[in-house]
Amino acid sequence: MVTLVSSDGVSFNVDQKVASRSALIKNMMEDIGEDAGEIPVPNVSSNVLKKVIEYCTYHKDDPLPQSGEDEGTSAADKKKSTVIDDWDYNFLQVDQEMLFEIILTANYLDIKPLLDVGCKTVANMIKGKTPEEIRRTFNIANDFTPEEEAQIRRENEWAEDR
Amino acid sequence: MLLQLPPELLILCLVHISDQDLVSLSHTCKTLYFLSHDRNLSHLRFMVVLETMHWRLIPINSNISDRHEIALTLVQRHVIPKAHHMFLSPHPVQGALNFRSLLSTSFRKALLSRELKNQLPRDHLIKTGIMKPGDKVSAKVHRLQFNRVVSVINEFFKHSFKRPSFHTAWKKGLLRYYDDELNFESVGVELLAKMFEGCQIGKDEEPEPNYFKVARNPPARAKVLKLKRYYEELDRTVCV
Repeated sequence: MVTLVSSDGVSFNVDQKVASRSALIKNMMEDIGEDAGEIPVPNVSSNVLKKVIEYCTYHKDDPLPQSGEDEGTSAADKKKSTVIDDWDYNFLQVDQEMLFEIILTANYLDIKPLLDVGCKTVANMIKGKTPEEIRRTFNIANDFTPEEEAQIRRENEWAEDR
Repeated sequence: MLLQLPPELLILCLVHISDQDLVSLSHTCKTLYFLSHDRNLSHLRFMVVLETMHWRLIPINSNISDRHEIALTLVQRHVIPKAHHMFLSPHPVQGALNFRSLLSTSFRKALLSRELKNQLPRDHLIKTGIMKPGDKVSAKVHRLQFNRVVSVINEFFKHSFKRPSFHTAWKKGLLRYYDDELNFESVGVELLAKMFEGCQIGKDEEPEPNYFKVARNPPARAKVLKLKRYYEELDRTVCV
């Protein structure tokens, strides 16, 4: 077992196999040795770390991506680039703030499959929406002047006849 | 809220959306407008297209090691500096993947020697003087076609980062090109070159009839010649 300590001081006892889903923690454990003890995760709050541990626990038996390799190398995977596994889909049905925190944590802890599925979830939230709908979804302020908007519309005019 | 993600992570999200969605996103705010025109994003998105093409081109029954080699290499698309060097740098960094070398090796093994052998338009090649009647289709001939395609793709990169719509048209064209199963035959190369011109000069202008005619303009010609010299140099190190 290894103990992960979140930024707000909450400790989580985690099986080493689960913790090894994070390449960062795996490397730390290898460097420190068997007696890893407490590993601080200073950039991650306890509620986010708890979610990430939940993901790692569910996927603990999945094959680890090789160095420099991404998940999903089959032709079928490539065709379904934004298809998300049911469990992962439900796991990521969280508010946006949590989703972005999970993505940031997956990046920080180097958990490639979680980063990938997080990015795909964001991509799915963008898909098929108009600019106004995207602004509303993500609470984005329109900082274009009317002239700039007209200019961008002109730029993209000829791509819109697809 | 989306903007709380750093650009390098936002780019990873935008790799998965369609060109139309990318255009919509670019209309939302200045930050996303500039991000949607980011050249690293263009590289990654184009790599996904290339990847799709590969999976469609390589026959199901082709050698497992070919597929494996390509899979292992292409899935590294998220490694942005490598993507940059694979596509754009004439001096690939030490240890970085040489995408062109990978392509030529893979195509030679998986396609040129198997698939294209019976598909190349011999009459056309004889007419253009590349082949003589009775010549066998050699890897060298295939590689000539291939090199021209690669040079067009490289030129595309130099011009494609100004507007997402360039990328759209290019991708559409490329996919159609492969849908038609033209592969790398000479006629197909000409078509590819024409598509490139369309992307380059825009919808409302008549495309030049020949890509290399564009290159007669001295600065453009200098670029093409520079690129040609680079390929010739590279060819000495790439297996044939």
